[in-house]
This record gives sequence, C-alpha cells and structure tokens, in this order.
Amino acid sequence: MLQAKMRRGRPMKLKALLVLGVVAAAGCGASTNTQSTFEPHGKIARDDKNIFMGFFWVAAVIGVLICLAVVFAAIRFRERPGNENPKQIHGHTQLEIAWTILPALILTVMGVFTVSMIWDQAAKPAGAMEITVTGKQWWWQFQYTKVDGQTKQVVTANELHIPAGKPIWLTLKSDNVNHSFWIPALAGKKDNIDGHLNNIQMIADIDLLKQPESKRWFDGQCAQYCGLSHADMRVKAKVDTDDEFKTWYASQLTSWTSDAVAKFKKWDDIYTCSSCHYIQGLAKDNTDAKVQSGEAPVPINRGPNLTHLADRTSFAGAKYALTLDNLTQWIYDAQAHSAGEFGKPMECPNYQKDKVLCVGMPAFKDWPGHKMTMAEAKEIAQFLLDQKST
Amino acid sequence: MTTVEHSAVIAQPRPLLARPTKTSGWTSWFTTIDHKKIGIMYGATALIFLVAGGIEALLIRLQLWRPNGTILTAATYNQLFTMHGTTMVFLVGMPLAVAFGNFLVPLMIGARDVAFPRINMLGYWVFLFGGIFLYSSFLFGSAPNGGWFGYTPLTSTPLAHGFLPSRGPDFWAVGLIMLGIGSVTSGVNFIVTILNMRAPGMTLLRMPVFVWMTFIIAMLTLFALPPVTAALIQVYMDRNFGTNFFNAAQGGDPLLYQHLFWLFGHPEVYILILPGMGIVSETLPVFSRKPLFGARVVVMSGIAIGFVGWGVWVHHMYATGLGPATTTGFGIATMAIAVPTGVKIFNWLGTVWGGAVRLTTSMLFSLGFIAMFTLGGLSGVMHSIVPSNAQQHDTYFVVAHFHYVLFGGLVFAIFSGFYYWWPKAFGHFLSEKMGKINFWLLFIGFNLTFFPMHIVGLQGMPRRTYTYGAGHGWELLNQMETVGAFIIALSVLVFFVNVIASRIRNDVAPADPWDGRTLEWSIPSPVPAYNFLEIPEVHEFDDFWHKKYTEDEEGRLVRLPSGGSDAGQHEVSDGSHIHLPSPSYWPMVFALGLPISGYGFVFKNWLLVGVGVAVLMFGLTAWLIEPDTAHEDH
Repeated sequence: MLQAKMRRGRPMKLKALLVLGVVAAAGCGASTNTQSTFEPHGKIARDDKNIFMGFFWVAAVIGVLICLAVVFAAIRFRERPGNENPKQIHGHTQLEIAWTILPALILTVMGVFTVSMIWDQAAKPAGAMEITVTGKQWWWQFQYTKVDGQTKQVVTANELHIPAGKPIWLTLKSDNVNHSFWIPALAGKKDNIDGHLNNIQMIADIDLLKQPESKRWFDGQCAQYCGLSHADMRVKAKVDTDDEFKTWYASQLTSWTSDAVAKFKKWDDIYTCSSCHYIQGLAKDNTDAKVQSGEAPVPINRGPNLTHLADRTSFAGAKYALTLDNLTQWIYDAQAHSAGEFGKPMECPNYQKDKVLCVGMPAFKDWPGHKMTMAEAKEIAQFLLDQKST
Repeated sequence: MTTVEHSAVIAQPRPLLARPTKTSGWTSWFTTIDHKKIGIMYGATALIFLVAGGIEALLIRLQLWRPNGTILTAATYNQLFTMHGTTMVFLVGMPLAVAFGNFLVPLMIGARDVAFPRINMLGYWVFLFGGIFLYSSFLFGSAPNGGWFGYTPLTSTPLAHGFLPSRGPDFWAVGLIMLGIGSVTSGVNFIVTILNMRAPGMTLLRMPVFVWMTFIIAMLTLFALPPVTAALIQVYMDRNFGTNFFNAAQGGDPLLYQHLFWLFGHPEVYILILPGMGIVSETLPVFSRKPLFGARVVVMSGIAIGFVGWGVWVHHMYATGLGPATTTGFGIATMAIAVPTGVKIFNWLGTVWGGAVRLTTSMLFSLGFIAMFTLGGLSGVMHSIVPSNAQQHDTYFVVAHFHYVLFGGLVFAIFSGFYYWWPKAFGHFLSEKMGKINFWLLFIGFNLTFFPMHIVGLQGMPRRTYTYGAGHGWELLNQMETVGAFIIALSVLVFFVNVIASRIRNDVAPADPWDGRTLEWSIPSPVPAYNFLEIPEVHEFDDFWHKKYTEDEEGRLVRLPSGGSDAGQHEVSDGSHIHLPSPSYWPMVFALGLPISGYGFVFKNWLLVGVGVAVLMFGLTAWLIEPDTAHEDH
C-alpha cells in the first residue's frame, strides 16, 4: 500500500482568499470601468446587481465553508496509527433531510425575489420613449420611433442618446444573424433575433446629471457571437440632460444643405455611397418625408446613417474614435482596419451583384473602375466631419 | 420445403474472411472487441484530442494576453474557440466517460464483456474517424467557425451568400451527426449491459454508484442525441438544399434551433459531469475507509438530476426573450436541480468525515473535485436568478462557471480515476510523487486561469471575442488567466511524463492495491481477457469489501481472517476454457464508410457519398454474416 504523505491544504485556503478578493473587487470596484456590471447607473442594472450580490454573499459563505470542510476533513481525519479502522457510518436520515430542506429553503427565498423581478422588468413602463435597436454586421442602428408622443424618426448608429431619469423601451431586432444588445451599466442584455422582437427597459439614473458630460458616457458591446467581427461590434450610450437631449434630437432630424448634397454627389456617383448609407437630403423619392412622419422604416440601412456622422464621437461599430486621420484610413481601406478579412473574395463574393448579403465596408482604394486616392479619401472624410449640426 | 429450410439453418454462413484470432500484439488493437482494450483506446484517443483542444486554448490565451492582440486573426480565433469547445465536449469529455464506463462497467457488475462487443468496437471507430474528420477541416482551411453551439442563422445560411465564409459549418454539422451515432451506440450498449449482465445477486441497489451514473448518462445520451441530430440535419439542409427551417425571411425560425440544441445541450452537461460524480463516489470511500455516506441517496439524487436535467434547457436562452412566464418556470427548475446536486456534495463530505483519509494523488484529485465542483455549482445557481443572468450571460463569468463544473469537476475526477484504476488497467502504479506535482500544478493553474474569469466577466467582458479594448481594467486578469493556462499545460505534461516513466519503472501492482470495495479489485491486475474466472455471486453493496471486513458492535472495522482477493485461484486455472467472442474486422470497415460519405456531404459530391454508403453496407453485410467465432475455435 502506498504511503500517504500528509499535506497542508494551503492552496485551498488561497482559494478562500481569492473568494474574498472577488468580494473586494465587487464591493469597491475599479472606478473607471464604463462597461462594468459592478458600477450600475440605471435602475435595471442596479436591480440586477443587487439581486446578484444578495445571493453572492450566501453562495460565498456556503462555498468557503464547504472548501474549508474539505481541507479540514483531509487533515483532521487523515490516516494515522490508531485510526486505521474508523467507525463505519452508512448514512444518517435526519442529516439527509436537513441538507435537502435547508438549500431548498434558501432557494425558495431566492426564487421569490427572482420571480417578482422577472415580471417587473418585463413590463413596458407607461409613457416610455421608444427606440428600435437593430443589430447589423457589425454595428448598431437606433431608430427613435416615439419621443414625447412624436413619431418622427431619428435614425442613427452606434451611439445611443437617452435622457436621464426617463423610462426607455428598447425594441430589439435583427435582419441578419443573432446579436445581443448590452450596455452593462444601464441594463442587462437581450438578443436581437431575426423574426422576433425583444424588449429591454432602461432608465438611466437622474443622479447622473450631477456629473459632467464626459462622465455620462457608457460602453457596451454585442454579447452574442455574430461572426467574424463580433468583438468589434461595440456601442456607446450617452445619458443627456433634458435640454441636451432635445437639442440633439432636433439636430438629428435635419438634412444636409443642398450645397452639401451637390458636393457629395460627385463622390456618390463614383463610389455609390448612398446605396448603403442613408443620407437625409440625398435620398431619392420622398423617403425623407416618410421617415420623418414615421411612415416608412429606414429604407437604406446596409451601412450607418451618414447624415450626422460628424455629431458622433466614434465610428465602425464604435470601435474607432472619430478623427480625420482614422476616418480617412477607413474610407481609403476599411478592410485593413476591420477584422481584416471580410473584403476577400470568399467573404463578399458578389459585392456588386448582391449587395444585400454583402457585409462590411469595401476597400475603396481597390474600387473597380476608379481607385480612390488617399487625398480623395481625406477630402471625403473632411467633408463628412464638416457636416456638424451643432 | 421444410427440409430445405432446415438444412439452411444448420449450414454455417460462409465467412467473407475468417475472423481474426490475434488478441495480442499491436495489430490486435485494430480488431479487438475486448471492452477493456476498447476502453483504453477511448481514453488514449481522448487524451490526444485533449492535447489538441488544449493547444487551441493556449493560442486563445496568448491572443488575449493583452488588449488588441495581434497573434491571431479574427478568422483564426473564431475557428479556434469553436474547435476548442467542440473538441472538449465531443472528443474529450464524452469519450473519457465512455472510456471509464467501458473499462469498468463489466468489471464492476461481474460480467465478462459488454452486451454487444462488436457494436462497442463500432462506437470507438466512429468516434476516432469522426474526430479525425472534424480536424481534417483545418487542412481544407474550413475549420468550423460558428461556435460549438452553432447558432442559426449564422451557421445555416447557404455558403454562396453566407455569414460564415467557409465550409466550416458543414464539417461541423456532418461531424457531430457522425459522432452522435457513436455516442448512441455506446449508450444503448451500456443500458443493455447494465440491465442484463449483472452477476447473480447484484440487484440495482447493490450496483456501484459509478455504474449507476453510467446508466443514467447512457439514458440521457439515448434521448438527448435525437433532437440535436434533427437540428444538425436541418442546418445542413438549409445550407445546401435551400430549405428554410431557420430562415426568418421565409417563415423559418432561428430560435427553433436553440431549443433543439439546448434540449440536447443541457442534458449533455449532465452526461459530462455524472461520470465524474460516479468516479469520486468510488474513490472517496476507499481512501476514507468508510462506506459511501447515504449511498442510496447519492444514487437517487443522480436519478433526480437525470430527470430534472430535461427541464432546464431554457436557462441557456433567457436572453432570447421568451417572456416572463417561460423564464419564471425554467428559473425555478434550475434552482430545483441545485438541491439534488447539493445533496451529493454533502454526502461526499459525510463520507470523508470521520474516516481514515489517505491523501493519495487520486484522493487529492477527488477532494479537489468536491471543492471546485461546489464553486461551479454555486455560480451555476446564480444563473437561475434570471435578472442577474442578463448581466452574466455570454460573458466570461459563464466561461468561469462551466470550467469550474467541467474542468474542476469532470477533469479532476478523471485524473482521480486515472491514478486509482491505472494499476488495474496496466498492472503498475503511476508515480505518486509525480502525481502530487501533477495535482498541485493543475489545482493552482486551474484556479489561476478560471477564477479571474468570474471577475472579468462581471466587469463586462463578453465571451467569444477575438480581441478587447484597453481601458476597462481587464488587462491584469487576462494576463493571470494566460499564465494559469500554461501552468495547466505543464501539469498535463507532467501527467504524460508520469505515464511513460511509470511504465518504464514498472512498479508492479497487486490485485487489490488500495484495499478496494468493488468487484474489479477481486481479480488480478492487469485484468485477464475473461475478467472473472468464475462469475462472482453478490450479496451486498460493496460486496468485495464485505468479503474482507466486518464491523464490531461499535461499528468499527474488523478484518476477516480469510478475506481478500481471489486472485490466487487464477494460478490454478489459466481461464483458457472460457469462451470469448473472437475479434472482428467489420465494425471498423462499417465506421470507415461514415467519414467517406461525410466528405461527400461536405463538398456535395454525391458519388463520394455513394462510395461511403457502399463501404458501410459492405462492412455491415460482412459483419452480419461472419461466423460467431474464429474457425480455430471449432
């Protein structure tokens, strides 16, 4: 028979320390993470965190006790001269009943809280602002379909603006693969699934208004694997004061000036930008009027709405900061700056013939018939950045 | 007329080829139908795939060492995480369970083999060929890249205008269907073996707990594989034949897939963990010198898990918006399943408590199992809190959770089983010294890798992302995880060195080296081909133990003077009179047909599909008409 060596259960204790470590991390939190569930700034996110922490403490105590019991038993009852033949205990009915009932009781309490919160969060708040969130490959489209009773549609991308303290009712959808919309500081996630409409309640803390504007930006990202650039599909949310929101909302309804449209047309004729990007003022027929009245869904949404790109802080699934240099590079050769491979023939086999199914921005430096120069790309980028509405 | 029929019955069917007779030497491994050899082959093959899946994990961890990592492209990363998950579930976890089940079940129930030895052999070759088939996708630059869960419509949209630019999803769907065939055959085999081939006196409640757990996973396998097989066939047809099962634009439903997948996927989790529970239910009593505390309760709670496990699949789908009524029901079911799981943990603790604990390597791994599995179970209960699940779902918190269950749980138990039954399988011990290094490295590396994932997940880091941005405070935790992953790799390396060094050192093991409780310890190590010279008669739970020991009035152990292994009687007889079925070529030929038609399906080459089916039918026909035994036996 093998000689059993006695060992101290040091790493088991280390484990307990680690458990305490996560508690500390959860409690104090790293104060600058704008994507953390530990730092909620909205009602739903706070409720999610509170119910989690409630059970976390129970679980931590149980987990530590069981781990300690394992270590204790291994040391205390180790084989040594005199106890080679321990008392043979085959079971204990009362104990079995106790450790069946006790966990069941704990779970029942947990269940009551859970169920009431499930129904709470599923209800549509009265008078909520309504925003439709569409997951695209790989960016987010926001349509403000009901703001203060109005049905004019603001169509924007990647950066969600919401007023503090107001109930928001998000409707999630997809016209391609599954995505999952998630801004941890504001609310838990839900999936965007083609053929289904899902909803999220969102109410940003009114307290946030005490913070400067720069502290009211939050990060999120797509949580459901959606293909090649899943990791690049990020999103930002800005919590506005009432005035900020009203100003922003009004600005997003405006169109480009006729001068701007005329100038852009010369590029659009070559590079067909408006076949994927909605541009208010440039769209054909009476699309603009229909969108504004809420009559028509967004007609052209293979790419983000470019009209008010200049008002945003980021682009390309909120991955890159909106600077002249970044935007120039992107327009010139998006393939080199994306996940890298979605312009290759396999990825986008019928770019010209079958635009509906093509994903991603082409590399205009290789545009068939008219290769874009860097200077031209810079000119377009500058033009887009000049269309600032405020 | 009757005469003709009569003579047909008497006439031996003409064998296509004589049955092979060799039962030793390397060639015998290709034709063996011995459950022990097949068990060892399952184990060895699964370990090779473990290395492959492990290398994938290391590459993933290297890429995530720092923000905006550039070691892998997004396309490669997506292939690697898909193959890591697929490998660990289908090519490592399940086969390891089958390896232990194959080797142990007949020994533990006092049988000479499984009920269907050739179907058993078929299961192994299907597994091997299916695994090679899946991995061959790398050679075609078409490794699966839709995730191990393969959600539609990402995976189901036709290649020509698809969301995944390769034949990866075809390889994945066809490969998993193939592996499913192997799993179902071994499931059926276990069920029939356990129900019909127990030694006299071994009633169901006298069966070792490991056998019980194997029985439950076999039942789960039998019922869980059909829904996922249907889903995979639908994915394949959507991609290749223009059906619209999952195409919302044509009235299909992408969500249907998730229901079918998780109706399989959740029982699958229990298929993976129950063998681990079975293993520690054997090792803990032996190394504590106490019977399993509440053995019947442990079995009953296993059965309860087996049933309730069917009613919790939606907890993988809370984020899909099934509505408050649905999430309420499945949330409560998920909480309920924690009760029988907790009962098991307390009973294992009760087993160790008050015993005479020998801290062998096997025991260390078993104790590690209890602790790690408990933590994984607790974070699992957290998922049943539907509102907070909305924050945890699809983040690294979930990655941490299921690695605590499946790695801290299953893998620790598997290693415990290796160190415990190695002497029985190979006749020599694994080195305890290296074993302890193996354990502590794995314990430290495991926790260093997976514990920080809880935190980084709650800090907002989603899973399945090939990169992450700086500034969220995720850097340090990710670096810890990467270091931990390499410590795990080192630990596995120590295990392999141990396997080789111990074989060379050859520390010969007796029949009953650990003072065991179950029947396999009553026969020599390594086990002779026929297992039991005489089929034992069973009188009690832990029958072998009760042949060695009795209890005095105070319940203390007293060794019986005459007790012990009956290994001695094997010196009297060499067992040559025992009739064993002969080896066979045909199950392997049958299995070979599957990947051939598999390639045909992937590349839509119907001729190749036909060739594969022909090979399969040839193997099947030859199998059916081959004689019962080799000619030499007549």
